[in-house]
Amino acid sequence: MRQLFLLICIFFSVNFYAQTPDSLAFPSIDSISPQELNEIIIIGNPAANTLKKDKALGSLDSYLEKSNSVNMVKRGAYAWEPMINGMSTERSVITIDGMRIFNACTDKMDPITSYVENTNLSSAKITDGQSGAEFGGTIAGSIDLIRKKSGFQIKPEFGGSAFAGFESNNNQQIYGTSLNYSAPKYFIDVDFTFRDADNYKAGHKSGEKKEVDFSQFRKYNTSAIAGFKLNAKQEIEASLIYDKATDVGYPGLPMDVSLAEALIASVQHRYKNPFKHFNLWETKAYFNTITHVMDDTPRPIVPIRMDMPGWSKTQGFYSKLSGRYNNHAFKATLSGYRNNSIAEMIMYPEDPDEKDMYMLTWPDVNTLYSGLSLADNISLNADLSLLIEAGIGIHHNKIRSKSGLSSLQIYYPDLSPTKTRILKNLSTRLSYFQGNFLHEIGMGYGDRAPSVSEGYGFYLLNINDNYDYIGNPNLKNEKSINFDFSSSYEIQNFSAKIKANYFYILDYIIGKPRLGIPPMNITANGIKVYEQLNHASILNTSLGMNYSPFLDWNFSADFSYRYGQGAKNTILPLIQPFTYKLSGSFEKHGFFTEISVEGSMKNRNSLEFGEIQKPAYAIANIALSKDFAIKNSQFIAKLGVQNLFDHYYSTFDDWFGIPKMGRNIYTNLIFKF
Amino acid sequence: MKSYKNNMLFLFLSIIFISCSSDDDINIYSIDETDNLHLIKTFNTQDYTLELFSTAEQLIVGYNQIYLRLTDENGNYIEEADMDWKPMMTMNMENMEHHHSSPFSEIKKTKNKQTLFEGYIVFTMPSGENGFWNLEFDLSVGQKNISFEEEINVISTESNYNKVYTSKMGENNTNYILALVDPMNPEIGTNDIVVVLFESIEDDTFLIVDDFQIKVDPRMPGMDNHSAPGNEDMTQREDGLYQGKVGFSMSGYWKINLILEDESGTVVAGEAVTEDNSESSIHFKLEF
Repeated sequence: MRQLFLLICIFFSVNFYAQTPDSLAFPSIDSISPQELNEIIIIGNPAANTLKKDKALGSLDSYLEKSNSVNMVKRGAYAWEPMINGMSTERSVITIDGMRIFNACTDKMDPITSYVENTNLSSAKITDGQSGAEFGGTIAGSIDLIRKKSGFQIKPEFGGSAFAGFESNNNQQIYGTSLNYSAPKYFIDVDFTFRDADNYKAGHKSGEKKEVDFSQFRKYNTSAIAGFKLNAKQEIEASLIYDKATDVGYPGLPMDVSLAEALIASVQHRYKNPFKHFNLWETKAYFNTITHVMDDTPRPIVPIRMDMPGWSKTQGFYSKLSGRYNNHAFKATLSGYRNNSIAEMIMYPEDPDEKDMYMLTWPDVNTLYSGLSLADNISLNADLSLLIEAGIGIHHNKIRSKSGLSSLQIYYPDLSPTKTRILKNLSTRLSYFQGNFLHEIGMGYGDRAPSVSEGYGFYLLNINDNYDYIGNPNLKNEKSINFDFSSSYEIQNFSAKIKANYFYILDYIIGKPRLGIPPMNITANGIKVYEQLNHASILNTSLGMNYSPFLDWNFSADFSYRYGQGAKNTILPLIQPFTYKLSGSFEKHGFFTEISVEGSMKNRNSLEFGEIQKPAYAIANIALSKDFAIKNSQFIAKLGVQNLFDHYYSTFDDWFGIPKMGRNIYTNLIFKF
Repeated sequence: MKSYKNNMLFLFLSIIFISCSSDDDINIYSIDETDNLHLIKTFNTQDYTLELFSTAEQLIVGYNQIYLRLTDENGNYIEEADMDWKPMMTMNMENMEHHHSSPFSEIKKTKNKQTLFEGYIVFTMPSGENGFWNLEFDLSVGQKNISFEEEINVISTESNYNKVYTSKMGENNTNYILALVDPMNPEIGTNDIVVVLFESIEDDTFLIVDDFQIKVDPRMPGMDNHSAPGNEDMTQREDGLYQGKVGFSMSGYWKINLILEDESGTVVAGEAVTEDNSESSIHFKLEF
């Protein structure tokens, strides 16, 4: 609890500067691990945190989006896809407490961040580049969502919360509750959240429709976590998350979702100071199962009725040992998982006498991975430290369905059902404290295996460029050489951080049109097959500043820009233009107010991927919050307006050009005891 | 047994896939060689019994793979015989009897079978109000010659979603008859496609057409005439049948459009599928 509190203090005051000298005392939640260039975002968990600044009951997605490293691709109001450093989810590793989970939707409607709720989490750790390769090969980096837990307490404590929220724009209602009990020997936390939203409305623009059809959603989430102390050094913990979304609309796609359901379970053993020089040995076994049912029943006009269900099941483990010896802080992680992904497409002809059409869009693919990752942070002297990380893994794919194999053999007659790859990563980072400055410079090399869609996908429609995508099982590993640099400065009431990273990606995997092959989807322009560009470059830069001229006042400014270009004149899609966010806040006697402005310049669109250029925009937001303390309980009321002037806009991350939400007035009421 | 094993340096992950298949059925000599065949009709003559089997449950309009088994009066199978046959349709048209035959192969001893003879017949129309089919046999067993004929029933399996027989008067005023031999059990993926191609000379003579090429273009009418790659035009193989490949990207109803080209590459029947022309006038239909 104290750690968490400290974290909140630090990361709350300086938007998200991970590498301040103070934060080195606890580089990661799970005790001593080597210093990593990562960023921690505190999730607005009504049960745990008092984030006055935020719309506390906002979605997890809205929290992740605050990071300068993250963009969220929006196919509607729900289940945004997190992109790290300008790269989509194939190129990153997203975990919940180190657990690998794979989406079950071929159209990326269910990034794993859509299967959790704020109440399940305390924070999100975002790691750039090869430092994110602890649990599998990555190019862009990783997001680890950290479970919320109250932990063991010397004095037994019972607490809880109840909260309700309403958002005017889409009539979203949010209700939830959490209970926790902590004792010296054990703890147990449970929570429940429900959200229900109608279609949202875009901003005002004459001639444009306000209501965005098929943008409704409903989500239930419940989780439990319990810990038991075996003895002074050992504890076990079990965690369960169950999440179910129904009637989710995706205005950016031609289909909606009738069911997205996940069960995420784990058991963990923690052993403190197991051996001399080792301070923590953490081992976890987990499994998760996801069912995702895409259907188009609500759509009035479709070329053909279809269902596209998908299933993803993963079993895995990791065992992580960290320690210190002289000036070394080190960590070794052994991890492995097995994933099975299946997706089907069933099409219903108009004539009821005609047989349904059926194909496997993911041909029952097993992915088996096991890897070892090592990290050593060497303090060369009081001001200078060197981090070295290395990893190796075996990645094995097997197509289990005979019919799925045969269908891919139409394209690849000699295709073998199995493929084994070796993944490797190596990176290093030098950190130098110079007075109030911290400079970091790093470089890394790593590779990743193609995703199931990239390797084995069959006729997956991308509505943005309107092509049917076919996987390519012969793809080589995608490799990346990355360089990063950051410099931060912090004094009492001012902090600033400038950061840049550059990825030079070899054998960059991307879909390219294949002429002469007709598409399957009736409306598609043609077929794209995943191919590899010789090289592609992605540059990410950001600058963040925070200034508190007086005790009650705080001003912050964030700027970021990305650039992506591949060989063969390929402008990479979904690349963020210059974006800024400015905010000023005032806080006194439990009263908090904030005004913020955010906007971006026009983007460098990729015509090849169906992107149109989106004009520059700016919107303004206001937030008000008041805390009331009543005996041992706390009552927080929040009121805010997003997109105050009801501006109509859409930007690079809006799939299929859907407009963003217009003016939204929200209220959050949180009661904690 | 196939096994895959993967051990990491550090150990404790070792995962084994095991799949077993037992192909060790012992091939016991069995006098009944008609497994998976359907008895269609038994012809009884004075001395012999002739049983007619098909790979299908009934004789159909289109290609019929037929097996014959001959038994003498003592119930012994005849292993050596010369057999000839001829299907004959009798039609009643305005009180005039009209006869015609249909394409058929010679009958020969089935390879690696003791008791079976085989051949095929392509029926060009079903039995029914318009007429009936007789099957005529001329057998020589040793010194004996026997001739007989009997009616057989032929049904049409043609529907909106099934068609395994097609005929067309070509550009050169030759009537072409095509019947689908394979795939009878199509699967998603690339399938071998086999077709017999005959031309008819008057009503009674049918000749295998040699050295043509048959272009294959599978389409899914339910998916706006979606087509799939993996196709290979059919060319003639040694036994006179035509073989190529056809790709099905999914299960459902497929129309296999065909174009006939003669030995010089000139189109003699069938049309290309375009945006304005949804099908060729010669095609098969399959649903699976």
